[in-house]
Amino acid sequence: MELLTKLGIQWGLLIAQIVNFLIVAGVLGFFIYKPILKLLDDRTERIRAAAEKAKKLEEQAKEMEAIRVEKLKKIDAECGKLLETAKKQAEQVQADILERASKEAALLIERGKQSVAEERDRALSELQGRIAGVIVGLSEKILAREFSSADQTRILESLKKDIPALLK
Amino acid sequence: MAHFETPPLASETLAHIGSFPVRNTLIMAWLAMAVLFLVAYFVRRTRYREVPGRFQGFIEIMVEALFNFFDSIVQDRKQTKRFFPIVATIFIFLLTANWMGILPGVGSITILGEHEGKILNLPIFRSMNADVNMTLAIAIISVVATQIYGVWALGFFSYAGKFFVAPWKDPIGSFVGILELIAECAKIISFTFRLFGNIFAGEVLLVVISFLMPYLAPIPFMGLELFVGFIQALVFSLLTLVFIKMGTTGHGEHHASSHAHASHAAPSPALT
Repeated sequence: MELLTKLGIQWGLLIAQIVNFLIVAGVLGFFIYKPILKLLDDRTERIRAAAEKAKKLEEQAKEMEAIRVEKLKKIDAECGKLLETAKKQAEQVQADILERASKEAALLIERGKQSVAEERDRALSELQGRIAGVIVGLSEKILAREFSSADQTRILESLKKDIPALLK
Repeated sequence: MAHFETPPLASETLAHIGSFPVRNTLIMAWLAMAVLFLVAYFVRRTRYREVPGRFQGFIEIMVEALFNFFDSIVQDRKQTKRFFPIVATIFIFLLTANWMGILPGVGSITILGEHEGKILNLPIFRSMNADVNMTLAIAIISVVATQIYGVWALGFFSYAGKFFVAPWKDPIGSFVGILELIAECAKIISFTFRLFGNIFAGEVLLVVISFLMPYLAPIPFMGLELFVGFIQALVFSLLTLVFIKMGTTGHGEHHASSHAHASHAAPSPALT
């Protein structure tokens, strides 16, 4: 006991100091350790979540990029096909138009030829009629007689046979 | 030659509140508490923002560094979180008090008073841990906390089984149990006098050096005392942490880690 007095040990002080320590532990725990550790944990958690999210987003972006490239390729291929078809159709149409045009042209030429030939034939037969008339008149005058109708018919028939040969 | 006084072993009573003695070391304890409460108040005032300011950032770094350091010893975040308030408070409280003990005015501002029947110049401030009452209090808290955590983690009978083994079942184990029990009590004494001895010796050292050569010479010793103050706070908290960790480890694991115990305990006398 003498040692205890020599060291100045006093139960009241001892208990006071224990209480002091517990108060300090309580105050620091309540105002510093607990909130700060919670804050740090929350922050760690949030950063981890954010990093995960960023990774996910990056993956999604990559996926989207792949899809985009794939789509572009498809569109390219379709465009090429479409262009090809269009070209073919255009060529077809061109060929058709050309063919029809040449056909029509041939038809027109044919018709023209026909009408020219018809005109010539008509003119020729008219000329034949008139020439025959003239010849009959002249012949009547030269012979100073009138032909009976039977004669006329006969002469006209023979003339009709000969005139074309004469005209040629 | 000037009058030279080494500080007495026992702290000096300056006044009484009723029958309760107010000693100079208790005043220092209150001052240290005031400093810590002020810090706590300023931390509270930061409102624990998600984006910390400078002060909050500093506190965060300190708390995180301390926590990670303790966690590197416990190796279990959940357990570290449970032990942290006691162990960190021991470290912070002792560190604050030890460093405040080196401030100018501590030990040198005196009033006349009676101590052990003599009228003396009594220092108003004296380093908190240069008083056995204070170190003993914290040692008791440390050892009691170890027992509480041990009972909490293992259950009462399992924890008591560490100390009380039926001698007819395992005579050697029974003897070892008794030794363990004595060791638990010895911890209080070793904790108390390690810290008290270091801080008291530092105080005496500074008084003697200041007496011999008041200018410049004490400066390196003050640096030394800063270091000792830090190391003692660290040793106290780390030993507490290690004892708590060992106390919460089960019986089977305990024997396996008894070598680790020896290696943990061994460096501590060297550090003192």
